[in-house]
Amino acid sequence: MTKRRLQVSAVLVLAIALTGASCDQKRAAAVALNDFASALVAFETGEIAAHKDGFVSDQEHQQIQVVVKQVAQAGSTLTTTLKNSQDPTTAITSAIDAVAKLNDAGVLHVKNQETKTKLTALVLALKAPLVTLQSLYIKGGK
Amino acid sequence: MDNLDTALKLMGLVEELVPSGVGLVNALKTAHSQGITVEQLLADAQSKFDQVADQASKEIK
Repeated sequence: MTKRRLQVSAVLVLAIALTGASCDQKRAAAVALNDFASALVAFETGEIAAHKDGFVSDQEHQQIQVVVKQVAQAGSTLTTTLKNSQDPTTAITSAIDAVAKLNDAGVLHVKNQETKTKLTALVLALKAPLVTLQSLYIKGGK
Repeated sequence: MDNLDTALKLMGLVEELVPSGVGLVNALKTAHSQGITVEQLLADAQSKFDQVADQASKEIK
């Protein structure tokens, strides 16, 4: 089993060495930001579909879309800071807070359990790239 | 080797391969992004954020 583990590790190290060695901080951040934007598109598309299918009430839909817009605006601000090579730590924190609000003020109040579970999974997909950005600029330092 | 032993060995293998698979997917995504400039990635992200904000404005009455 140890030999197998070594083989798997060797493949991983090789793959990362071949593909990620020249990946600088800004590129990694841009990739993570793009993933975040794609995840937000997926969330909005999924929520609108669930609303149209009657699994999300009009009131829940309104509340969620208000926060979705705030998350998109936080993403725009983050994009601008990265474009201008400014310190993005405040913008990253704002985006994380906005995504947390998406759960607290919207998704967790959806009454249909199955839809709530699906939307919660989409929120998790939003958090993952933000954790990457956080590790690049906040935890790991510049 | 009984069935339980086989099952435990398989579970161990899955435990090893799943994180490896995730790592490989991330490495491939990074490789794919190598052909795209940082400016293009940021512009694409901005376009998606604008699209989401516009759609949200339409949904909010």
